[in-house]
Amino acid sequence: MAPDERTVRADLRSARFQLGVDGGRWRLLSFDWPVGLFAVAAAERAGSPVEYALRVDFSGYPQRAPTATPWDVDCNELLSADKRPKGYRVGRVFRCNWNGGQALYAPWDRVALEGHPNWANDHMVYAWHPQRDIAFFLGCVYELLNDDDYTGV
Amino acid sequence: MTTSTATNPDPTIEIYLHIAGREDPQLVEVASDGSVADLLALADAVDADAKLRLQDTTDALDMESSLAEAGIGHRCHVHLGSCDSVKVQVRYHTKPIVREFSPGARIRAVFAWAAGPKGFELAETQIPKHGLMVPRSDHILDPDVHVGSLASDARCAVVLDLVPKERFEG
Repeated sequence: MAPDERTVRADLRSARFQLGVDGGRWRLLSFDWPVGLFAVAAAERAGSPVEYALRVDFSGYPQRAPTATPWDVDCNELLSADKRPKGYRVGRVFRCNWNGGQALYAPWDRVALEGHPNWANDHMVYAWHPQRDIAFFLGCVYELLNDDDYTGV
Repeated sequence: MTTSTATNPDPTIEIYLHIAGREDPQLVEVASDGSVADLLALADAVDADAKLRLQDTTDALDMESSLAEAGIGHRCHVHLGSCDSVKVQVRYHTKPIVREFSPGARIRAVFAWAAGPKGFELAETQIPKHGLMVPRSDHILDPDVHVGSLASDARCAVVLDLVPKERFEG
């Protein structure tokens, strides 16, 4: 087993990840290296889902950040714009008008971070580095989906 | 989260073990009919006088007690360390404030005190926009981190900064 896969599997068993599961913040739906499918809980909003799915690619983990595609589990495809979470902050991170909507526009996502090298210094609290883990990644998304700013779909 | 061992038929249970000086807990497996001392044996490099406490409590557990007698069930949170209390100093613009906490107290309790009427009296709207950080670290502390996990057994003290949370907005 390659080091990146071994590290991901260990982190999925870690206390930090399991604390999120026990706390109802996220859950693992499936894992088929290098992709894990996760559901992240969202604050209650009228007519909106209680969780959103992310299809996370872990290639190179943790030296390189994961990258997550908002995912429609029922249709097994990219989550369409009308089903994405809205709100000033979360709407920008889940935007469809950048990179085809296939990654999160945030400093913890590999694709976005590699396209914005200044984010590592400008957003140190949110930027991925090799000491981060999947619990950090999902925690950042959970924070957005449970912020007052989140308005639902 | 504490679940009674009676509802877990497995011969082993998992415990969140929070250890002095290590911010993140470990998830350890122990025989469900084991003793408190068995938990101590699972931790490496622990002081000889280390004690175990249930999360958010002050009294040390009796090492001879069974896990069930001590109230330790599946995925229960336990703190391990030799400090009987931790001196917490919180800084925020003005003069720092200081208070002693049990090592098994959580950061959410420290934050409630520091942001509240006996602390820096943050406005109600400002409370969710602030958090606690270890100075020069790169993250806001999780509310469920144990105070004792931030203090070495040698010092039994920790300094924290009350800071506004950065809100990434793209």
